Amino acid sequence: MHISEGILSLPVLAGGGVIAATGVAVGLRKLDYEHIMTTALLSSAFFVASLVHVPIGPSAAHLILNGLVGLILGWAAVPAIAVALFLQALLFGFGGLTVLGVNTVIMAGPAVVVYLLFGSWIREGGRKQLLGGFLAGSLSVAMSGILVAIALIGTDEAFMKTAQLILLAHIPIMLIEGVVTMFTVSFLSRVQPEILAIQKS
Amino acid sequence: MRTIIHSPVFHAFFLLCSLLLLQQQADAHGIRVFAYTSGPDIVVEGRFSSGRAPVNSKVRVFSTKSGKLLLEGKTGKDGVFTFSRPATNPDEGLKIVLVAGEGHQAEWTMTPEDLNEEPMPAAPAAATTPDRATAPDTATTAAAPAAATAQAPATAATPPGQVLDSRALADLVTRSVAREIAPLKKMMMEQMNRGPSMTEILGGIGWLVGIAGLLAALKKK
Repeated sequence: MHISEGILSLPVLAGGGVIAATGVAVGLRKLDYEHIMTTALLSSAFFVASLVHVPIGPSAAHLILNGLVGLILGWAAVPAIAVALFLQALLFGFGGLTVLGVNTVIMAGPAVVVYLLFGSWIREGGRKQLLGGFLAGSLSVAMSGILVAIALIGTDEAFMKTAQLILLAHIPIMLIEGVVTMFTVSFLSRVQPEILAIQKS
Repeated sequence: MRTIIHSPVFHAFFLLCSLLLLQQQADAHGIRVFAYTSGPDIVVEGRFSSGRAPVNSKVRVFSTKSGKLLLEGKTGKDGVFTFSRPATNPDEGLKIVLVAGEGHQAEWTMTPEDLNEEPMPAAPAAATTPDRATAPDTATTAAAPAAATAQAPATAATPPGQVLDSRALADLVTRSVAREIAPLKKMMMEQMNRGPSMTEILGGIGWLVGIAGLLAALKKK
């Protein structure tokens, strides 16, 4: 779901850049010393997740994991994802440097949103925790898809059609992300609950 | 810090990395495009970095000099779009843009040298064999270059050893060379389209660890 270089207009690129930079600043301020290593780990997980291929029928999709990163890191997900996207652009040629801001908003925006929506559910445990994990994993992918379609408004791709195409293509990956996030969260809450307690505020 | 290294999260992360070692497949969202001349045509090939071909994707061909849209087309099932070489000025190249939808786009530039590599010596060479290249003869050669091989019986009246006029010969050579190097061009493209290598993946993770260390050093007071 990266947007390539040379598609978006300058105002969209600049707007994305400003929003992303603000998010990174907020995230860095909220990130305290103890959780730097966790943030780096999740940033690495996000960095490699898009290389993990899930074959679905004739095509294939890859994991995104922005929901999981958001749930655990909260606002710190923004710098974590921004750095991972920067390295993906630099080393893999995914996306690009000029679209970095927009791509950060597309990936990290939903991460923060699912944290705000389901973060407290995750820390409660029980059935609510499982449901929260699933919803966070799947909804963050859906929201990213809608953000891609919004970013493409103004290019020659119509919003509704693009949004439909992306959402349809990502239904399987939404389910997979939901399940992966759900199990990861419940696994973490059993073996290392302190990692989920990262940001209580 | 020590707790992190012994933590299950860290182990799970290592598991993820080792999975990657086993299953070195690229993702679906990098897309690349590559174009080369093939006789009178230009062949455009697109590939997602997963190896899948972009089907029915728009291809736009622009002039590098004027920026004007010269022609437009769509890729077939194999991700290939072939068009006949448009008339260009000698200092003009082509910018080929492949639009695969949903924010995927790639471009490839053909320099004037790329475009002019083929139609070469015909004119000066023909001048050295003045009377051999008779008017009707060259006309048929130009009109139906495919008949180049059939040229031999057609010019049977000429003395043996002089069966092909130089233009037909140049055409024939160009065609067979193009045919021979087509797989090479394809191979080159496949090489370029390989997904990220292990070096790059591990390098990226190394950077992330380094950045975390830097941040930790800055925040520790």
